[in-house]
Amino acid sequence: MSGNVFSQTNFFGKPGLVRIPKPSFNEDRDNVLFNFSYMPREYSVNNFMNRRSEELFYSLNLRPINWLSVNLVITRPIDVPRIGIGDRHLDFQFYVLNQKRYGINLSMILSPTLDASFIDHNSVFISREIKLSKTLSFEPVFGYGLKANYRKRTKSMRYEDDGYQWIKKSKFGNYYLSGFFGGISINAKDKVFFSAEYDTQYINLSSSVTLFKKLNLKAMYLDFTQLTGQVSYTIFLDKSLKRNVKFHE
Amino acid sequence: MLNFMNKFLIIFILFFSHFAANAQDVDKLKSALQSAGFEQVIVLPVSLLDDGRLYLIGIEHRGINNPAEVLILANSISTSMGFLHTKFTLFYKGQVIHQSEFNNGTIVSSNLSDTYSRDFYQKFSPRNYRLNTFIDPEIQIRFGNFINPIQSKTSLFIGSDIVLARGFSLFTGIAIPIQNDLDSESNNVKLGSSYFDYFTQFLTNHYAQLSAGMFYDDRYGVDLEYRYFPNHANLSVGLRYAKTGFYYFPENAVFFESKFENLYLINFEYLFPKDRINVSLEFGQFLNKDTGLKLLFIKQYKNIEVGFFSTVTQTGRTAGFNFMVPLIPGKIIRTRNFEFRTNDSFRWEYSYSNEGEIGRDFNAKKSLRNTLRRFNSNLYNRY
Repeated sequence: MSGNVFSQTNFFGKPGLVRIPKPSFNEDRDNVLFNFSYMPREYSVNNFMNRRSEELFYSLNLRPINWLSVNLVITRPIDVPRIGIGDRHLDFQFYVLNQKRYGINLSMILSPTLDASFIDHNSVFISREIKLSKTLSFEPVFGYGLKANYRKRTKSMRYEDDGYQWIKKSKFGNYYLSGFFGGISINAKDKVFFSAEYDTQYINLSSSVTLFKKLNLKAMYLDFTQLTGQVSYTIFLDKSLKRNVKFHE
Repeated sequence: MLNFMNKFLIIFILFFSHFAANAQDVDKLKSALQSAGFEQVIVLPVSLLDDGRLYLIGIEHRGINNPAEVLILANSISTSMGFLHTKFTLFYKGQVIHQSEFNNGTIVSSNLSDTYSRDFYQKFSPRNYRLNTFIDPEIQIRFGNFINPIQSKTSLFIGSDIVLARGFSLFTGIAIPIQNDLDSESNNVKLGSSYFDYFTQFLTNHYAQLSAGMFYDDRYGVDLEYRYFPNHANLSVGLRYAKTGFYYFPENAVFFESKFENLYLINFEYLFPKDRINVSLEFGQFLNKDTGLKLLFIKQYKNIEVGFFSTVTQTGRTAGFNFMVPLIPGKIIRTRNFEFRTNDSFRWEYSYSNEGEIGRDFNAKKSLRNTLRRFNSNLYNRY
């Protein structure tokens, strides 16, 4: 109801900066966000079974309850053959604290143990939005991501099934959010965004613009060397269909 | 005396002309509602109030999947035509669900008394329905094959739920195949899912649906569903029993497998009205003699539902999501007796595992549970 504002998202389509997530969101929660992004080979994230490749990310983000959002991510490594639809990943972001009540935003991302995805990550992060003027604000974000995941070993590791255990993410080629990360996001009029961040591996920059309240185009500059992009589209789910409201011929 | 007679005559004439004008207005209202897509419009004038007459209006709208929006549309039409005191009764296939009225902009619902139900039922006629035809794509996708990761089968269903008597309908249509690299079914135009269906609220808040025929998801047989769905409560409980076999269409033929399977399921569903989330737990025996349970979270948006589920059965575990959306553009042709539109509630489900069939059921599109969910009046003022 409150204006249908677009919030800045990271390459996964979650609220975030360039690659790291952030714990704040716009007030609206009646929307679903579809997201498409590209990661070049040198900065691949999924590294499907330690196989580096250019990667395409298709994702969907939905926040059915105030304190929870659901993220579905399909990674399609371009050069990896015989992979089927790609790597299917699910995670939940819990918005534990919000700035209005507690002075800071705090979120947790949990990936349920499904033994399916190679980008499972679990992290906790905080932020505080500081208003510079009515239309301009900046938001420092700081967080920590676990370096290990609780899961089974994969068959390709040539081990017997010895049950669930803590395994270093790097063994699967997963370096995403392993350790401390942080960054700053700048928001101008809820339309133009700038970010600078350290994502536990590289320093990245991005800038994005929202058009027609629904379409967001983003350019990312990874490690000061690689330029890449992202497109997201939002659908507001609680709008009345025009055809259900108007009746005068 | 003469004076008195005169006065009486004047009052009589006034009263009569008032009544005649009203009858005309009622006809106008009916046709306005009908041209907005309503069917089975029945107007019962009830009592004369200080500032007008109270009308009970029975309505059904098959092109809008949200009863709250159906009520809002009906109310805005009738108030714009000068009907200020109205109570609306929602029908489903001509059967009364419940009665709602607008009180300072909020919708208040209650069960309709038997007397008024009877009045409505006396005026019910299958002829008050249009031939309400809709177009509905059927898309099956199997992900994950290494060589062909997206195998799919797409067809268009064009058909109608033809109401033959109160609560009783024939659901039928044709299926036009568009593309298929999923299975070996023929590419001819064939009979779409076709079955007889009876829906009733046999006691207040107790609903039943009996269906027999060829259903969605290649099953034929009988399907019985009962649901206790109180008008004002958040918890509802359902039972389902079905005895079905497998059917499919090879080249120029139809094949019915003679082996029948039982399906029996118990379902508890609880609505958290503030968040508009239903939590549903279903357990029992699914198809393929697969016993287990399915946990489902459904978020209800204005015209859309999004669900996440997780299933654990003897066969295995899976999880996934489903959704229901109204298709664009909605109404295509609408005349007095005919309507052609896109499906107001297209459903699709994605399951993570495609090995074996885990917790599978059939004809979920038309299940009593999915039909009634949107009629929970605790939701009406929450959108």
